[in-house]
Amino acid sequence: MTDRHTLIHEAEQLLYREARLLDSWQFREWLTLFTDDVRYVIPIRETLQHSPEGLHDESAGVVVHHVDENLAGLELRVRRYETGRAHAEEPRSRSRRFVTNVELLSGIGEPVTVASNLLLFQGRRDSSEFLFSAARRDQIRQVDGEWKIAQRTVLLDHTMLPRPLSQFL
Amino acid sequence: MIPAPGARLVDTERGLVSRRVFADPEIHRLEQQRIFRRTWCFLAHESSIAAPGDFLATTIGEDPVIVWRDKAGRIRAFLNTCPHRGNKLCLFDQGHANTIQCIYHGWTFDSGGQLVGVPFEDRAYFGDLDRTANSLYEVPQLTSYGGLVFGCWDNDAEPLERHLGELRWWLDVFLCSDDLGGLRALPGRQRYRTAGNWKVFCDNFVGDRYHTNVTHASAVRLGMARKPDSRQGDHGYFMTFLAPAHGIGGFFTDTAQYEADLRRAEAIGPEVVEYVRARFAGLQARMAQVADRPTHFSFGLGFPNFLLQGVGRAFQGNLIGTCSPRGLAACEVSQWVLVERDAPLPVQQAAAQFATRGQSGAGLIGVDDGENFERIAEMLAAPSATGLTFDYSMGLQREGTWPGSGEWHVQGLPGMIGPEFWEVSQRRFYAHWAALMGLNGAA
Repeated sequence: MTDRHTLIHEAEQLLYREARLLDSWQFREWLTLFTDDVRYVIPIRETLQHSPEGLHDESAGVVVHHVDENLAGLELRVRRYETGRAHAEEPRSRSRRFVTNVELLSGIGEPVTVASNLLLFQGRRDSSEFLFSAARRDQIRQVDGEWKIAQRTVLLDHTMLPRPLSQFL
Repeated sequence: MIPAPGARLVDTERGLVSRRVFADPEIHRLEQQRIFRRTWCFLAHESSIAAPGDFLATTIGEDPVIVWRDKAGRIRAFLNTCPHRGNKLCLFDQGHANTIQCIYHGWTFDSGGQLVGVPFEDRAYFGDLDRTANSLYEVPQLTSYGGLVFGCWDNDAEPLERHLGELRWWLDVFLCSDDLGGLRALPGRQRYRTAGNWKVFCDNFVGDRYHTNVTHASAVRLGMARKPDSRQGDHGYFMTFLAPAHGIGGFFTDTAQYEADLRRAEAIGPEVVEYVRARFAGLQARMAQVADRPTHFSFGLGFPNFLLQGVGRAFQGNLIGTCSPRGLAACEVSQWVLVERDAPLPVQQAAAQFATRGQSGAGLIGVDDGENFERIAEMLAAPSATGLTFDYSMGLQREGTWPGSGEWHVQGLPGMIGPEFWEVSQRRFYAHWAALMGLNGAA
């Protein structure tokens, strides 16, 4: 059993490593950071009268998201990059992920819930530069001694995507 | 600048459109008056505002509007501005209210747009304020066509049914029936901004299949988009131009797609098989008068900016929405997923997934279109490009007499039906646009 301080440190390292892998296009290695049963969701946020967070209630029925993938879906998106014909990322964007505010929202018993903030800078060609800002809620658990992400929810700070999203958040 | 006399911005005889059509600020300004204030624009599906008091915010072109179901259950639409001093009234994308109060001075309006509250009215106006002259600015024409709500700023515009023209048959068959409980919009409106003039986006939707193999090469390799066959099929892939200025594409008149859906259903369970069969039977019944029956269509555009995707296919839901201008060189896409109320849960989930994986802001197809539109926008701004044109001449000499078309199984279908690769709908989109704009070069 690890203590809380160590756990936060390990969670931070997991998220930093993930950011580095994505920024350097090491997608296959990135995929190994997820559990086999992962769910990766980028919900749509709207300015909603009934929800200050701006989220639709999934418990009431099927809701449409920006992204909602399992591991096979994430792998499909990785294979898209590997075709060399994913024009939105050919030539590659210069991306930089800034991960901050890493915080443990749960106890140290699994599943562990980790909050983090993400700022993604995306530069394409000379003139187009974009920022995506989001909070993330990850559930992580240990598989064979390694921390893996079992569930990710990306809470965008945008209602509408400021440009088509060709990156992972 | 308005074109000099003699200049042809839209040359229908040669299939050429001046780049100024996409890059000239004066043309953009005129469009807001002559296109978006004169034609019918799609607003919402009725199910998104099902009860009296339900509202949502959207836009007609660049006009923010509130679409609001009034106390009597009638759907109304208003410019989202206080008549007093112009404040934007409603910041919610969606909600429920019987009245709305402006946060500047507190004028309050009911769901019929009437001014029903004025703070300190006696002290401030001494009874002189004419409330009836200060109603919300209402979109004067609003019509629901089988649940699809359209609005038009022009009182003198032709009726919606005439504007929809030959598109009506396709909407009637695929989007306006009460089968399986009728359609409803799933919660969650996908919205994204993309670079590019709105027409560049919309002319892609009206009939461009030619780009798929290259723009969407990655999706084709992943099996997410269909690779064109080496020859035109007699049962499709077909495109259709629908007068006066609409187009749809990507349909077949054999049952291969239905059978593929059935196999997918069998892998899920008997409830889903029954659903796929029932909705196919409903479609067949509605097309009883037609010899060659499409099972679905992949995409389409109702002039000027009504987007349609994945319509009629069991596991694709139906994506409907708009692409509206945001200045000259950007646009905003807004779309909903419609499913039958009684569709089994796995079908609804598949519909939502189709919307997230495909032609959407974070989908594997939409992002590569966005890349094109961004690059085009960049080059439209190049000073030396303003005298150039875009070429829409594909098949210009073959309209209506495409090689092999005598073998096509398209008996009884409305519209001008054509091959997988064409630019007929694009040409007619711009001819109609030019006519509405009052610019020369109209056909």
